[in-house]
Amino acid sequence: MSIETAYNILYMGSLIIFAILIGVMLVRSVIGPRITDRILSVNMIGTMIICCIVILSRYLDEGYLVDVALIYAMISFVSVLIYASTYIPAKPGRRPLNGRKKARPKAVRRAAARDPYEEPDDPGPVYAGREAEEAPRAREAWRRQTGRTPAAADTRPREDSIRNGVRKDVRNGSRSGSAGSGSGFTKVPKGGGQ
Amino acid sequence: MRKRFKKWVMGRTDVMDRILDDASEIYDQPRETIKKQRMELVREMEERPGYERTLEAEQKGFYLIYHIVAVISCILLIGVLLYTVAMLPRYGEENVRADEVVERYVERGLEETGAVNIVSGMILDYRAFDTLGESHVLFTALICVMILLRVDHKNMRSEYEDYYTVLSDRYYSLERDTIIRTMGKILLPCIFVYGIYILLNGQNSPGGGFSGGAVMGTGLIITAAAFGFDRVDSFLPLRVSMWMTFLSLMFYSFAKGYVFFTGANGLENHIPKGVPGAILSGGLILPLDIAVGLVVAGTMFGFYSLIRRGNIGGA
Amino acid sequence: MTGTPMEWIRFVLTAVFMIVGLCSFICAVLGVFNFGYIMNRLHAAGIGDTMGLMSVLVALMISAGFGMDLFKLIAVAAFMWCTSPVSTHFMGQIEYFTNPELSSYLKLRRRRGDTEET
Repeated sequence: MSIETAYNILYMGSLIIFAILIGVMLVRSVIGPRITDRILSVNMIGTMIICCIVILSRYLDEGYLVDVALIYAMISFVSVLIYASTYIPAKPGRRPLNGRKKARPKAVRRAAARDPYEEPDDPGPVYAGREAEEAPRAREAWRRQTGRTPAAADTRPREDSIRNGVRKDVRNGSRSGSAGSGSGFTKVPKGGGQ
Repeated sequence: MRKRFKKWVMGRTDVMDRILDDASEIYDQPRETIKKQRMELVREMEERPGYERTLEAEQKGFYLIYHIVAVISCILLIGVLLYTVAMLPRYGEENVRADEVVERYVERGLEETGAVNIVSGMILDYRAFDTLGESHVLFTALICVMILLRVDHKNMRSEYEDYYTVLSDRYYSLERDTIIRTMGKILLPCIFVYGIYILLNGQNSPGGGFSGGAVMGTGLIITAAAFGFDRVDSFLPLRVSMWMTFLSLMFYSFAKGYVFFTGANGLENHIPKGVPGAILSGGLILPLDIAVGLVVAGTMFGFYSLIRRGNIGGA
Repeated sequence: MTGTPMEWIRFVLTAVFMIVGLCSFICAVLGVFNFGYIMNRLHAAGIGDTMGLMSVLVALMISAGFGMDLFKLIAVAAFMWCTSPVSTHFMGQIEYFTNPELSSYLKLRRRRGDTEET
């Protein structure tokens, strides 16, 4: 047999095996019980697709498909980066996104404090999909086992200005904003109703 | 009359003033009374017995019709498109109507456009009108997302910022890791150079304006996510970003408009075609690639910035 | 058997590296499925990202010979080796910040500022 057929068999075989592996990783992305399992499987699928594209570029003897693989690597990296910036919670007291480096003026803080709407409670960690109904059971189980409550979010004493200006009697244990309060920020015609 | 028009442009009155009764009275008052009125209304609504149930009863019928109509229209649209696609000729079959156009592109594309990459020559020379429309669509999409998502911190400060956004991710950035900062310093120059390489090689190898712009937009997103938005705001405030996008779009329109005008009237547009295979070849393809790339990069980063923190240029 | 011995040596080297790469990827996928917790799966996935990808790319570099393709493949390898550990690091961070019962899986050190009661 000639070299061409040998190379072809090698490349085609690798491509088939990679395709099977990608299909298997898809299963993990569906059944993985946590978010991170799914992100991991998508990242691995991306890596395997890079291998497939590069093998194809040698199989078809076209040099520019390697550029496509490089772009794909970049996109998969950016996707994990943005996932991380979504799920890692923000810490109050850090530098704000819009570049304001000083505390807000006192008049604004006082006006904020006079508002009878209280601030919402701290959200816990992020649960997605099926974990949302397991969350209370998981916390209970953990609390029973270890005698401690899970540290949900950053519970350090805040040094942020807005939190110091808030009425202290409603800082903890306040009732969270009800469902109707969300509509209070949109325009409401005078007659009431929706 | 002018006062009403000005108020409408500034967003304080509604066009539907006379139609929605008494709506204009809301905005003619000072900000504090508006806030108080809104809170009173919300409290009234909440304390009314059966509030949730009336809401449900009024909206349930509407949502049912809405869902049914949505599903039916989707199925209709999908059916029509599939039927049209089924009538296309098979791959490789002879099709008298389309073959002449394709043959001309393939055979005389190199000498007429000067680009080795026929696809670039097609989208930026033969069918540049479509690309013009696409660039305008990108820009319009950015404007629409700005209208929907932009949080103007200067004008809306005392209403929205106090509780709703303070504790949210939109207001605070997350911790800057040393790892991502170090990697960013090493990788980001390479990413930007790679994006420019793809842009400049639109006429010689696969690439062109859209992919190069996408890579540069991704580089900007990585900069913003890794180093914080302050870094990007220092060289891309809102003014610069908008002017860059707008000027490249205008350049594209005027340059291509000139070519359309001369081509339609049978005149000769004196744009040199250059040696095929060199970078400065293909007539207008290189400048148009750069324009399209800037529009795409500005749009991509604008979307990310708007969704992440509500505005493009900071504060 | 057509072709010079040099070409056959090149083919054999390509095949060897490619098979090594494929086995690494198979080990990685098997690891992701067999381990129980996400942190262990990250270890298994790292095998694919580094050794598997590198072997496949070295195989293709040998097959491509000296030319433009070689440098592009080196660029792909360098980029993936730079960004893949960062992705793994961020996945670990996501897991740390979104799992309330992390202490039952891992042994955590207390950070400065952690309180034990909410």
